Amino acid sequence: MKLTAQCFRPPNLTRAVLQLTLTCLILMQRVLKAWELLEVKSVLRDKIPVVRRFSGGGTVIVDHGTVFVSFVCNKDSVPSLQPYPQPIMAWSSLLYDQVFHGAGDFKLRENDYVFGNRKFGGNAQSIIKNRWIHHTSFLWDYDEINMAYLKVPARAPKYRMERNHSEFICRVKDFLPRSAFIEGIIKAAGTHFSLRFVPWDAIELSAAANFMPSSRMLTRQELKAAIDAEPESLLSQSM
Amino acid sequence: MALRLWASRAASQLRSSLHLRGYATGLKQRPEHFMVVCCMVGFHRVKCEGGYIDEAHTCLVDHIHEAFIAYPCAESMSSVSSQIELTICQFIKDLKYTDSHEWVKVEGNSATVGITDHAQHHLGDVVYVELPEEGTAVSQGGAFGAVESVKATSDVNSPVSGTVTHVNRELDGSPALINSSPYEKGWIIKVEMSNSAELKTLMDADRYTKFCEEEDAKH
Repeated sequence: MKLTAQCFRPPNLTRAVLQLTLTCLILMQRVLKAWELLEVKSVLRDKIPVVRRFSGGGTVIVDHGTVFVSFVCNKDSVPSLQPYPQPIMAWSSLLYDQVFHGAGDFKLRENDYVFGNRKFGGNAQSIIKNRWIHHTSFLWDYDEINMAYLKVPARAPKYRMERNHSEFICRVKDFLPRSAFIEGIIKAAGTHFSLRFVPWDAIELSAAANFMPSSRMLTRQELKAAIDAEPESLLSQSM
Repeated sequence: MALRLWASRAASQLRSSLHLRGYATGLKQRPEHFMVVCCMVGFHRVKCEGGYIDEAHTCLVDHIHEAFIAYPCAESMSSVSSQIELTICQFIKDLKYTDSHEWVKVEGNSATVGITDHAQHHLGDVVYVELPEEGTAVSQGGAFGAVESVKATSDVNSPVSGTVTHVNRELDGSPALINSSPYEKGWIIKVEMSNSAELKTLMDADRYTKFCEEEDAKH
């Protein structure tokens, strides 16, 4: 999240960032009520970090099985693409169709990537005057237990049809091999951009940069305050 | 009877106040025509999703004509769009506009700022608004906050330089006001301007309408 945000703010370069997540943490959308999105008591008990994200999108739990792909682009990086949410989403779905075509019944459904009617990739965007970022968190694999930290959101896509997490999502690894997945993304990106590979340890996360990320980790006090703010009727249901 | 007579007179007055300009955009690539409907308040840019509109499209004229009799301006457009498949974006005459789709209304040295109907339409349902604190300094073209729709956040830039004097806290609990009332209840900040000469660099409604059409035509 910090690397992607730092790539976003300085101008001019188009970047694609592919990241593999190592630790379990929750990326939360920027709303006022954490208790609406999370089982806060469980999150606090198990000390799961919660980051309020700078980009749009919903609330997800990520772990070692999650693969992030972010496109950080200038306004004119993709010819004829309007820098608005729906055109960017449509463009990304065409790119990923090159990756997943034939692997399953791949499609963009509302704002999610699905095989059939099961989600395997969630999207988020941030758009500023001359730049935009589109990132996708892919569920290469996931731990079923971790899904219990998330509530079913009040605002959910229609195709979810009130299914719980285990009935709603699926794993990419069940549809294609890892090498095909990673190489497919790189190949698809290469059809739109000239690629230059930069190793992770060669990227400097300069603390001296005049950059203040608006993504931030919520403190334990803020999470405890979220429990206090939760209506009693809901608290008794969750116990 | 008296009501019907009043309605008939009002109708003929309203019909004469409405005029239509048609713009054809890329007839081969895109069959839709945009029309700009000018009323007493401003412009309404109308795109027919279901087929072609031309300047003699009496069906559209009749729909708008009937709607204006019954409802105030903004509601009439909602009524029309529910009857035919239309995308309608509103442009208010007396405002100034930026190329990043913010509007500004100037009263003395105070500027009220929001995002345009065109912008909210493209963003989708707004779920959160990041607001600055009162007293914050803003500069022309600089970001002062953000609007978050379902899957995207988008910076909001100030059309003028100055100091934030008021923030619309209604947006904390009702961010969708930006969708439903982008030019009125969905205002975002008020600014005490430090350099009113900056207003000359902004677009008027006519220029902004054309800007939106040119932007849409490029893509």
